[in-house]
Amino acid sequence: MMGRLFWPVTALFLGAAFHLAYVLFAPSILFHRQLISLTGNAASNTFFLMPPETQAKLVPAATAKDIVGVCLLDLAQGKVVFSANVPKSLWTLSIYSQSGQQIYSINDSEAGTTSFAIELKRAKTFLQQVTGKAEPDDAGQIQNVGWHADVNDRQGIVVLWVPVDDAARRGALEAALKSTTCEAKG
Amino acid sequence: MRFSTGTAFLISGALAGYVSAQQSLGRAGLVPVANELRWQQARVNPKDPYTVYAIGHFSADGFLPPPATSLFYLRNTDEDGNTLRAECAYTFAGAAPQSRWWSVRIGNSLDAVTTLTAGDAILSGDDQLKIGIARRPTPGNWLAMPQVSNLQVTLVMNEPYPLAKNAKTTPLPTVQKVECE
Repeated sequence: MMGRLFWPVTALFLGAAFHLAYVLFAPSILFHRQLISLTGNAASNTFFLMPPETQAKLVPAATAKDIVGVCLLDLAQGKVVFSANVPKSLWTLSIYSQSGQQIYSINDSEAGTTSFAIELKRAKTFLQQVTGKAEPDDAGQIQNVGWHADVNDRQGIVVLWVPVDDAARRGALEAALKSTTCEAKG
Repeated sequence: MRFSTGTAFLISGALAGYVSAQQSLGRAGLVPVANELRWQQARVNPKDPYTVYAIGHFSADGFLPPPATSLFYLRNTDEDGNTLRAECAYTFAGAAPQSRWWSVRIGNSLDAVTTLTAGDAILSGDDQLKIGIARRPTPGNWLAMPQVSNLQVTLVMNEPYPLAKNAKTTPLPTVQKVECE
């Protein structure tokens, strides 16, 4: 009896393993490939505006008429500070982890300002939280840059979306956004 | 070449895992809209234990998931339930989307998309939105019909007002076939 069930049970476990492996790894590999083809050789921790013809292929809520700025985060070396200069109009800033999960979002009405900074750092793992020593002066180490967000992965994506209500304003909106920076702070 | 029974079981197990993963990812991230038979909503619910499937659905196509600050609706049929066809003309009509910004698109999911946004559209006096979707220009709002297959209409509401999140109080627009060539 046991001998008869060996191969069907093994096949069942192998099927489950294939299923999980595909669901967990294939989408992020395919997404990373698409990201490279859309952003070219864009450096990490640098803010840039995407070409209108390709931005909707990355950000589904955007159209070719909108402006989309992106920063490919790399938190391996430490903190990254995203300093935004945004126009006085509707905009949304979203931060995604490497796996594609949205971890932070803010818009013009929530921010209430056209200039702000977000300090991004890698979140401590559960093991680090349990085994790590308490950092008594942690509060003192936080620089007063604005808001803070913890990213679960080593990499992530910051997306700044600005719709353009009048094509004649596009140049002015782009000029306002170009002073936005995304820099590693070590 | 002869396969032993064990090898056949292993191959079929792996194949079943691959196919089921593909199908699960294909269906995830799309949920039916209450009271709206033809529309589906693309979304990622972070509280859902199967979030990894929903995120994978978008990532596998190279997209970031729709942000939580947007409502993302799509459909590929007209009001009669027939698949949208490039050789037909349609009317997209309903109340103006209740959001700070919106866009309506037609195309397939990857390319050949034409778009009308809140900045381009003309609303009627009673706050109704009507768009002609056709190969040739139509009076009022017009979306050029792309000559592609697998057509779908997408309505994106960015920063929706609270009322827009309830399909009972704010029905989504209809897509009615006008004629076919």
